[in-house]
Amino acid sequence: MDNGVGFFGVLGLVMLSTLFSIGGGNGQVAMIQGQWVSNGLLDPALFAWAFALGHFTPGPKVSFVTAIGYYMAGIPGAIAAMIGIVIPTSLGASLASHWYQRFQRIINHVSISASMVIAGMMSTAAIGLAQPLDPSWIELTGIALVTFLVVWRRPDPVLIVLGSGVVGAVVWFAGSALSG
Amino acid sequence: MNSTEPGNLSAKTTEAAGPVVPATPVTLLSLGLVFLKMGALTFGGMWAAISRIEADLVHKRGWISADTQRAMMITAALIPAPKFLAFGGMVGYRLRGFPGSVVSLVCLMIPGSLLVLAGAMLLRQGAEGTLLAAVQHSITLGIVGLLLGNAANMAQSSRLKGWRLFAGIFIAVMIPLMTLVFGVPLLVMALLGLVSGAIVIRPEQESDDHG
Repeated sequence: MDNGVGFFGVLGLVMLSTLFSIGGGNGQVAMIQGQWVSNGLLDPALFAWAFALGHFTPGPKVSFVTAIGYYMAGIPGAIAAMIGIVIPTSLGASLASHWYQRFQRIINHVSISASMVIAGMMSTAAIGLAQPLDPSWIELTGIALVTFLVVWRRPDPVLIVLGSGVVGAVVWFAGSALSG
Repeated sequence: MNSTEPGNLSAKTTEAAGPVVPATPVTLLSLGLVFLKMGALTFGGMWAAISRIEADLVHKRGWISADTQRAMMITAALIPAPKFLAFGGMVGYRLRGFPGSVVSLVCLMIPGSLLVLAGAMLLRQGAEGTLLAAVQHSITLGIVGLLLGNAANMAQSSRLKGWRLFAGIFIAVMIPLMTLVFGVPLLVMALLGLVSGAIVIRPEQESDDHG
């Protein structure tokens, strides 16, 4: 975990990334991928595992940032990630409740383009996550199939994660059997 | 305007405004316990948990009305924060002000975060060639597909049409292009996208009114 990020590094990025979570867009994924995964500070597999954990566990899916914080800076990093989510969210929720009518016009205005911006950010995260893996054409086909399935049927993400894991295990066992 | 009218989002969302003193006083402890339970027993995010939330907050405890709950959920999806947590924070604020907001969303987050932390501590990166590494590799590829699919669904949810759709797609494509090919920081591109989108893609009714 000697990556020079530390408690305040985790706190700062998670707080900033929370601002890109309009409509459940999960801007954190893109921000963390862009800042830590693409810079080699966090392994793509650990990043993906943390993201998967957020879908396997109860409550808000954003709890995956706790695992990211842990991977970056140990237990203090996990605590920093939680604080980084709680502070801006509690402020935003309170302000939205208190001054909703005053902010309604601005929120409505920004939220129209926000979904496209977040779509772009998620695409960036996806491509950035795949790049270091250097996927083969078979793996690229698999990615395309999953993308199509998600758009077509919108399955529970847990099924995608479980299914991908099973495929990986089957391929590994098949490879071991063939080589052994 | 009838706030219970189906599809009347503006009427529903205005109900989220302002802190309201509930008929029955709610302590921070009881607020925390309710959200702790909600955080431990709900799966699939805020919209998936809507029935359970309504059963607990509306029917069992009477802390908020069903209309208020829906208004808060819609508002939570519009503000820049994770929506389930934002909803918890809004309910907490409505019942106990800012301390209630903090308590409710901390308690909502704790169960899942502890389980995620346990999972992260148990499983580290698998050594190359092991079963664990193979599974992690394929899960990563699956998540790449999931993110791309979610990005497409997110773009579809904007319900833009005509030149607004074209402008939106242009913004969505420019972000990965400029970030991954030309090395422009993602944050810069995201902010540029939000600002340019707010200027170019105006709300339909307002834009139509001005020709």
